Amino acid sequence: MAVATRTSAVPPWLDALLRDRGIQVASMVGLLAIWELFSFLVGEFAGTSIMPGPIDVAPRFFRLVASGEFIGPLLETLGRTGLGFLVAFVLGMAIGIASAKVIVVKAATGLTMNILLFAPTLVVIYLGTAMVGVGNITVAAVAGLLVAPNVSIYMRDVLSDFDPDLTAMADSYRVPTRQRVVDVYLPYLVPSMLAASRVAFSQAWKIVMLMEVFGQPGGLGYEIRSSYYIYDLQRMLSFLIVFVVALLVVEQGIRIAEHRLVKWQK
Amino acid sequence: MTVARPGSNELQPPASGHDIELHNVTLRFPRPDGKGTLPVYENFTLDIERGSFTVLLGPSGCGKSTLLNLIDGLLTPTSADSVKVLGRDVRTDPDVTRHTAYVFQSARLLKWKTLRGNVEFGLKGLGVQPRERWDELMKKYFGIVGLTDFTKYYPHQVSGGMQQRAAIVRAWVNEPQILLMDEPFSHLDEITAAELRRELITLWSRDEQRRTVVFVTHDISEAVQLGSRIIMLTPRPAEICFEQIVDLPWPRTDADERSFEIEKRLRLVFAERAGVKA
Ligand SMILES: Nc1ncnc2c1ncn2[C@@H]1O[C@H](COP(=O)(O)OP(=O)(O)O)[C@@H](O)[C@H]1O
Ligand SMILES: [Mg+2]
Repeated sequence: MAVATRTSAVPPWLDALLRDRGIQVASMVGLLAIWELFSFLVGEFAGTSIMPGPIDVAPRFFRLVASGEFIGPLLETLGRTGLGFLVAFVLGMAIGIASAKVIVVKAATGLTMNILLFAPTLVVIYLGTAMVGVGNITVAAVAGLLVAPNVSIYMRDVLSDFDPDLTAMADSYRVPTRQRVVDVYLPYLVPSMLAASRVAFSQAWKIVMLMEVFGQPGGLGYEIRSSYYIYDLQRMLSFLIVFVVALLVVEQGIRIAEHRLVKWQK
Repeated sequence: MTVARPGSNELQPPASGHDIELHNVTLRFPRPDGKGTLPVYENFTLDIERGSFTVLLGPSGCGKSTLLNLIDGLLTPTSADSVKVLGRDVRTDPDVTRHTAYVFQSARLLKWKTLRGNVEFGLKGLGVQPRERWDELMKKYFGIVGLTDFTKYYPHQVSGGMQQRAAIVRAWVNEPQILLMDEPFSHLDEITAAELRRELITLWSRDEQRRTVVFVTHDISEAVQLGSRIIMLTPRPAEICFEQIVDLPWPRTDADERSFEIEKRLRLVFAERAGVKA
């Protein structure tokens, strides 16, 4: 049976994205409403308005955006996240592929990966900071260590799922190694690599933020911490919104890449 | 690297006249529990002559797919005097399997390539030269199986029957001397299967090149419809328990009395000899 082509002019991946986007906007509005209601209730029952709602925060947020004050911290956090992500992704891919291919590596890394997977994030952050000190190396090491297991376990399982019948098919057509890599293994892995990178990026991002909140100088997390110390909750929440928006933008970017690159998928 | 295009006229049959020669082949798989081995073939011998349409008929699990894998060099026997294709042993001369094409039981298409892309994958793998011929070859075989309008579709966009047709194109497009087919129509609905059987037999019987087909099935009426020679295998370790030459013109139908008689006889023998061993 042939696939029924949609009548709309937008390409299917964009169409899907837009449909998703509609739901996303609706849920975002819902979230803001709950936040406003919550802050109102806190004000009612606690007597003081300690919890600003979105309507209170909005002017501060827009001033923050308009002044460009957010750019420096955002770039700093993004840079660290990129660094941590890179370490995690390279390490995770390497361990994942190696443990799918070599049984000894799987045995040797399996337990470590699981321990790291369940290690409490804050404890590792404290340990890392105590041992290596503050600085971007610590950030890269901690984020790498905490995120790599997710990537490696995921990639290992994806690779183990590879259909041996396809290998036999390629054998039958006497396909040389280079062609196998380009036409079989890479296309098979790309969707999973993109999915893994989406997850890895958001995890690295959160870990970097945590590290900034708990001691690293600079970045969005540092701004949030300092706002907290001077009890400027509106400023704190404004930075938090910057954090969330940036994360969503990057995530969406990877999604678009997925739709473009993986056009053969259902 | 230049490879003589499989199927070209320079490809002479070996002196024996047998395109495939399996002599004293023994194959034992390790059992999954690690305890001992599972003998699938013990000193198995079979010669297949050029231009024959040989059907291997046997109960499931007896080793039919395994036999095709051995011929295509995808499996190495535990021991064998010879596993020869076109007079060359596939163990020492694996490149000779460029002249065999294998249609698997499932399509085994790359889902990230279009139907055309999948066919090109095979042509590229085999290093078929010159590249300019690819278009012409693909056009011909996509046309034969009725997929001309679907070459740009991805596998998930077409039916299972169409996927299997594309897999057939991938195997035949190169016009190889030997066609190995492993229950290629068993996953299809009966109407599509009958249609493809008819296409296959027409294509093969009209071909001047006298291609050799080894066709695996567990379906007796399919065997009688297609085979010029039917070989019946017993359960593991597989042995040839019966052979039947079918000297009837194609296309054949169940309505034909002579093929009906043969089918009846085969059913009797099959029940008697190819049943589960005690
Ligand atoms: N790679 C393998 N490892 C172990 N056992 C196998 C393997 N391939 C097939 N077998 C076993 O060999 C026997 C024959 O298999 P097969 O050739 O697929 O049978 P069929 O006649 O149904 O095509 C079966 O019992 C199967 O379980
Ligand atoms: Mg089989």
